[in-house]
Amino acid sequence: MNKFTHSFLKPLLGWVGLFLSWEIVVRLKIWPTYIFPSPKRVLMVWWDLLTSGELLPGVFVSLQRLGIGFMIAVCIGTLIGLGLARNKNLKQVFGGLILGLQTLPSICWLPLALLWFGLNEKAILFVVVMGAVLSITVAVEGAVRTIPPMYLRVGKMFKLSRWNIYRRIILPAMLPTFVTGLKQGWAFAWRSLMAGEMLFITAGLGQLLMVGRELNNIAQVMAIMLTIILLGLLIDLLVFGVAERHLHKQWGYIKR
Amino acid sequence: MTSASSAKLQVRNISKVFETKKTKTDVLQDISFEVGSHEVVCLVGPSGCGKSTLFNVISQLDQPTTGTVIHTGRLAMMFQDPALLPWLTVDKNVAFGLDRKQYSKTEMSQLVERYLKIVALEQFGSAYPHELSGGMKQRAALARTLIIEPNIILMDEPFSALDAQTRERLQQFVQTLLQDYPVSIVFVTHDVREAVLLGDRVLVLTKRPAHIRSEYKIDLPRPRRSFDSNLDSYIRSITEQLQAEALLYT
Repeated sequence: MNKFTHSFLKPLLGWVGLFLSWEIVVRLKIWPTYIFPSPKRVLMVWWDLLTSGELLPGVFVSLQRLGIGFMIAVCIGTLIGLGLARNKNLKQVFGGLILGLQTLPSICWLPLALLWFGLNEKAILFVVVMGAVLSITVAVEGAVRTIPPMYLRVGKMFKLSRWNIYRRIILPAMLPTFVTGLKQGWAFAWRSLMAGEMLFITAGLGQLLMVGRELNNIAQVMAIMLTIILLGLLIDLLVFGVAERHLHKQWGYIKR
Repeated sequence: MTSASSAKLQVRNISKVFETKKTKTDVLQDISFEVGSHEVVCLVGPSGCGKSTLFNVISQLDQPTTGTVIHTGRLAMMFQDPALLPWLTVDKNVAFGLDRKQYSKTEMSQLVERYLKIVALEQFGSAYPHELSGGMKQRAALARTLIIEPNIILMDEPFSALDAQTRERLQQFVQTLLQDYPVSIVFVTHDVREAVLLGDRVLVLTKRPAHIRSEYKIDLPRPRRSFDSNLDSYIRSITEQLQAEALLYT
C-alpha cells in the first residue's frame, strides 16, 4: 500500500495537477485556443496521430537512431574514459580538451556533420554520438577514479593480472556510478537527437514537431512534446531505474 | 628455534624514506627480524610510528628504500577493513583468490563450503557483504585469506574496528586456527593485550623513524584467554616500554 502510494499515487497527483491547471488557464480564455489549446484537444490530436499511423513510425525511427547512436557513444566513451582514468599522461594531455568539448552544445556539431556526411542518417547519428560520448567519457573517468583503493588492493593481494584487475575489480566496482553516467549520457543523446531531427528534416519525432509548427497546429506540437516527455520518462524508469535499483540493492545502498 | 633455515619470512635491514621535493622523512630505520614456521610475531608501536608502512613493505605492496624481504611459500594479507567486494556474494568473495584454472567449479564450491564452515558462516554463502555484521565480514575475509592455503598471513590491525566481544571471539578463533593449521602470522596491532595474547614473540617498535626497541618472548601455554593473569606482567612491561617511548623526544 505504502509503496503503491509513493510510486504511483503521488506522481499521478502531479500529472492530474498539471492537466487541471492547464484546463483552468484555458477556461480563463486569456489566449485563443489556436494558440493555447485545451488538454482535451491535445489528447484528441494525439489519438488521431496514433491511429492514423503517423506517430508510431516516428517514435520507432527516433528510438532506433537513439539506440544506435547511444550504443556507439557508450563504447567509445567507456574506452576513452577508462584510458583517461588509468593513464595520468592521457588525462593531463586530453582532460582539459574533453571537458571543453563537453560544454559545446551538441547541436553545434550539426553543420559540421552535414558538410562531412551530407543530408543523411549518418549526420544525425554523428550528432547523437557527439552529444552523449563526452558526458559518458567524463562519467566513466570519474567512476574509475573514485573506486575505493581498498578494492584495488584486493586485486594486488591476490596477484591478479592487469587484465583481471580490469575485469574482476575495476569494471564491477565502477558499475553503480557508470549507470548513473549512462543515464546522463542518454539524456544528452535524446536532446541532441530531437534538436537534430528538428533542424534537419527527416522522419522522426522532431520532424512531427516541426510539421505541427508548419501547419500552425499547436495541439500537434504539444501532443508530440508530451510524447517525448513520456518516452523519456519511460526509458528512465524502465531501463536505468531498474538497473540502478538492482545495483543499489546488491551493494546495500537502500534497504531491501 | 628461528634459525635462518626454518624461517618463513626474513626481514633484513629494512629502511624506508619518504621523499618529496622539500622534505625527507625517515619512517623505518634498519629493521630486521625473522618469523619461523608456525610462529606468531606481533608488532606493537606508538601510533604513527610507521607500523602500516612496515606492513606494506613486508607484504610487498610498497618497496623499501633499502633492505630486503624474503619469504618462502604463499603469502596472504588481512587489513582492518575486511575489503569484501560489495558486488559479490560471500561465496564468491571467499573464492575470489582461488586460481580458476586450477580448480573445477565443484571443487571450488566444496572448498568455499569448507572454509565458510571453518569461520562459522556456512549459512551466509549467498548473502551480500552489506547484510553481514562487522565481525562476520572480517570472518568472511579470513575465509578468503585461508582458502588459498597461505604459509604466512600478514595481519594489519584486523580486529581493531570491531567491538570488544567480537574481537575477543576472533582472537580465540585465531588461536584455534593455530592449533589446526601450520601457518606463520605477522600481526600488527596497537593493542598490547592482543599482542601478548596472540604472539609467540612481541616486537616493540620505537617512534618514527621506527626501529625495533625490544623483543619479548611470550612463554605462555595456549590457548590463552585475554583475562589470564599471567599475561599481565608482559603487558605491564611492554606498556611501560611504549610509554617511555612516547615520552622520549617530546
